[in-house]
Amino acid sequence: MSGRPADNQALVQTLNTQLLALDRAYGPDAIARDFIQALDRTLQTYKGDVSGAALRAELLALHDVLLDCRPRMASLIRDLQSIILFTVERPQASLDELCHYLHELLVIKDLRRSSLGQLAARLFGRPAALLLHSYGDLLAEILREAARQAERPRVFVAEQDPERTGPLIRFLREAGYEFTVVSEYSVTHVVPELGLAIFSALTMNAREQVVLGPGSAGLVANLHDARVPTYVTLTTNKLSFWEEHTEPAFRELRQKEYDGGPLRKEVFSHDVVPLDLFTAVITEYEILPPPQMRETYERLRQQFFEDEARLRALHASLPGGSRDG
Amino acid sequence: MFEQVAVALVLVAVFAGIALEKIDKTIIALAAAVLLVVTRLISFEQAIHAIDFNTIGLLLGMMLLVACLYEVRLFEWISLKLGLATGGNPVLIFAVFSVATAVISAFLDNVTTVLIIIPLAIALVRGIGLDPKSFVLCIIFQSNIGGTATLIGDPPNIMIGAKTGLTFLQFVQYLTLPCALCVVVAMLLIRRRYANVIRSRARVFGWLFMSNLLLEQIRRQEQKLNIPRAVLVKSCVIFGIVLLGFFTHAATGLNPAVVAIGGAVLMLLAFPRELELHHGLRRVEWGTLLFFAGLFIVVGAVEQAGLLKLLAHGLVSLTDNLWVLLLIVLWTSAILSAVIDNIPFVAVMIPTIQNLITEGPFAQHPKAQLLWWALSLGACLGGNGTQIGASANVIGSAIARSAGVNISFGTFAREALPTTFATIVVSALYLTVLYVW
Repeated sequence: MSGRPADNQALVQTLNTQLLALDRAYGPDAIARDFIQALDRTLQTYKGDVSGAALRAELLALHDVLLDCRPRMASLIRDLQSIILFTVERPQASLDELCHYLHELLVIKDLRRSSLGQLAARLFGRPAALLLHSYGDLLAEILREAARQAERPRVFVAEQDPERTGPLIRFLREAGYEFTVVSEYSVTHVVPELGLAIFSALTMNAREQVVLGPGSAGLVANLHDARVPTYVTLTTNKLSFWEEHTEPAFRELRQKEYDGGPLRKEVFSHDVVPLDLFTAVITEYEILPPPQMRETYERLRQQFFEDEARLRALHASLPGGSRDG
Repeated sequence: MFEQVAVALVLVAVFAGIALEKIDKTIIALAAAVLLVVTRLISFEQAIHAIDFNTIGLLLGMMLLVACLYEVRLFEWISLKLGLATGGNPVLIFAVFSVATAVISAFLDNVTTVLIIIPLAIALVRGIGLDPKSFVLCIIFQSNIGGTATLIGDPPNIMIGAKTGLTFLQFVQYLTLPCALCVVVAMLLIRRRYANVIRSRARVFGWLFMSNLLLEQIRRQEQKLNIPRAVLVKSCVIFGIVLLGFFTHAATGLNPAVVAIGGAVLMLLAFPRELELHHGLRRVEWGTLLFFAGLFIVVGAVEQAGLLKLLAHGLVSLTDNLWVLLLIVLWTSAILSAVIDNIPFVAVMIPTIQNLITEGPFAQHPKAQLLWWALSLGACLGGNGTQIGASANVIGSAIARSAGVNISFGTFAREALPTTFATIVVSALYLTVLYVW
């Protein structure tokens, strides 16, 4: 990727736009897979110098491009780090071996998720109803697994605006679940019937706060008070390790109309909920209560920045290359 | 004389009204038709007789058939498969989508084609980090060029085919070659803009990675589309039957309108769960059909008043050389189609050319039929000239705008004029070769 700076700038913009579009349409778990698959195809079709050192330089340059993207996607950077470190630790590895390593990464991701689906399906062993709020790939996998085991709990869907609740309703219909929709502000009335609630998180930040769709914070607080076991699905793909991601929710003032008169409506991008309000976090590794989740997060974060430091040192050793993380 | 002046004034008013775009063109055509009947410039019976139900039937059938094919998302699936087939190679993206647009347009209406192709083309071109503006324009041009190649590709051809009895095969035989040449010319002109960047990007690791990431996204779109195999097979078979029906309609004696409506009915019967007649009927442009009906009545009155004979005489007085007349028809059609709606123009020109061929000095000329191809090439390709020259231009620009690609009238003209000029020159050379040969 030893192109001109203007070309690199264009690449950052294009990749950033592409990743955001993929994230919106299919979620971060899908990006994590697509990223590795795209890298695999690129390595197989690249016509340039494929010697170990040359490839490492190209991968480091791609790593720089990812660091310039906003928001930074930790999971992708982490995967790329591990791929680059593979080339460092095994300098004699052939291109085929590198591609094989990429396939292994994909298989590990898939295995973790499928075993988790089975594990989480055990949550539905009791007869009480389940409250769902937001759709996510991991949540869908868990519910699909429960349906496969013929353990479909009765479901309440806390209703948000149609574009957020729509995918969840579509999924439940396809998976054959019986469900009732309850307005978000009326959930209190069905709380006594609930045995379990599951939310889908957007990310978890360095302040140990879980970031969820707007409207979640009040609900989680209510459920916590009523002692309803409340879980949140959050694959480690979604973890954010940088402080910069703790800014307040994006806020927008939209002009609406009511009874022929103008109406200003405040719209927020997300809610932030302390980790301790949840019973446990369902990650692709296992179901982790808050203290363990905290440990896992810290371990991953530390690992991430250690790898980052190694890469920076490696980068500095390349001719003309010095890059701040 | 009074009758001729009155009808001529109505015709001029219709053209002016359509060009000014202050009132819907369907209302203008219907108002003119009503005015002509009320003032007895044409009787009610003559008015009904003037409506060409072959054209309206074929248009209705194609609209319904395309609506059914659109609903089962066959062409969306094809375009995603094409995207995957490019393997993320920037050169292939340009080549495959240019040719595919032209081919799809030859069988679907141009607006549907741009609706399907442009969003994916924008995503693909953006995905390799280029400004999609020129490529969007290329897609629009290719759809107008592809539509010229067959009897069902563009309304002027439908009108010419329905009025003259020229067969689907004759259209293919005479128009496919010049259209294929024009596709290549349009691609070469657009290639100028992107060539260097495309070549360099295909070799850069980062951009190659971007292309592959884009392919993964298309793969996901295709999985999400999730069209059952049975639906794909059935719709492909029905579409194949319809194409066979068009190719053989001269031999079977089946009117193309019957083939198109038959295809739509087959689709509705084959997909009772997936397709609803009411959805299909909602996608039929009833306004356009009424516009045609009104226009046919106006042209009927013009013909009855003897104005078309005058126009034919006027053309003949310009030249008694068929080759020169071919070029006049080609260039006039192209220039006028670029600035006004080509449908009323073609509606007037069809009986005028019929006059020239049956009664005029070219009645015995063995190459007189070439005038139809001059009219078709001029009217269809001329539509590329300006942003308002064809429906695909207007709709294509609107789709691009909704995806954040703003194409101004000036930008459109800057790219369109050289392409239109080049394709009309190619057509002129082709007609010259046919004339001499």
